[in-house]
Amino acid sequence: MQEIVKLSILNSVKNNSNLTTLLRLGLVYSQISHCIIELSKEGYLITEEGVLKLTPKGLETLDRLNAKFGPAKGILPDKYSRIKKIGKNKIYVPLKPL
Amino acid sequence: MKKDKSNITISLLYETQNIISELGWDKGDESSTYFNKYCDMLKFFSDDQQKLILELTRKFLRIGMAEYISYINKALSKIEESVFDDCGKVYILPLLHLSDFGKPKSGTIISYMFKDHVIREHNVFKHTNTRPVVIETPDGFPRNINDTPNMILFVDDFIGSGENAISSINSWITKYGISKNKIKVLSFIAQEAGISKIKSMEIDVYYSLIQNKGISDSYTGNEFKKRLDIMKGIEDLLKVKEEYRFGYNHSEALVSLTRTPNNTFPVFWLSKKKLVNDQDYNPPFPR
Repeated sequence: MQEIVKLSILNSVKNNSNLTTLLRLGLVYSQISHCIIELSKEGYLITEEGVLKLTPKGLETLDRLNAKFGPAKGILPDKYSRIKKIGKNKIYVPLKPL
Repeated sequence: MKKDKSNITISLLYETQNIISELGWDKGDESSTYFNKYCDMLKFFSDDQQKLILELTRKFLRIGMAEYISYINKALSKIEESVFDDCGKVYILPLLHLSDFGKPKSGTIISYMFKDHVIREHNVFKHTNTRPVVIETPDGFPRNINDTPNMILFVDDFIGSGENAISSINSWITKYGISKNKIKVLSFIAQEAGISKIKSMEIDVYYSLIQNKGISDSYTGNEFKKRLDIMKGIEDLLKVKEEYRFGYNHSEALVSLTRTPNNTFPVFWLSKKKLVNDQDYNPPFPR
């Protein structure tokens, strides 16, 4: 498993965040699920009363990977929200909301 | 739901994985088809809606074609042998309106399964020396059944509100003048409403399983109202037609067979093109 994937999963578990970053890394749901199973088997994650948590080993690894990649490096550029440059007098109309 | 932001948290993904795994839906399937389908479905909904869908999924019954024989056998085992004593033949008919006879409907498949030797040798037939005879064309239907000891067994995989069952049985009674005491009904799964309706015609009905209504029969008071409102929100988002809200005739069923009955909550079977941000809604059990 790539370290950036491991970092994203450990981060997501710690904050119970959504899967946006992992999906942007190109993973599909079942691959994320397999990674969780793998990380649980390797002692990074544990389930307590049905809730997925980091073990001390998981926390330690998260700190190490954060130090290695740096918090800023763990955040991917948000190219999806970027729009083409438009003229000064043009008005940008965002995508249709729900 | 923003176009590129996932609505699924890691704990929801984990819970979904556990439920699908407990239900055994992806057993032996390396592609994790149902798990992926579920995540694709859940991403359209809010936290409360996702929780309700998963809660209902725990009670959801998925019956594949391979299990049909065993469900027929279970339902047959509910018939007391005295019912078929000395009747000689039991004519097997799909529980369909006469005008639908011969069409590729679930009842037609079930009736054909009565040609299988495992079913033909079921104790209820063997111990009573009764022969099940599958009616394949209207011409094969016995014209003088009231004057014989023979019986008729209407078969299907699911009975929901019972409306279709009643209208189907009545179409045969009207055309052939069959006495009600000649008729029995068998289904894998039945809901209380359907059973009561058929019994009110003084016709016996046999089934493997009764399925309660997914929300109304499981919760009361505020817990009931809360879930009712959440499901209304889900169905508003999916723009479900009035007649299918909470499943046809408000059946609130949680079942998928070879073809998912429209009595099941539409969130599980109703496909929608470009539901949100040009994304198609693909339910896990499309009809």
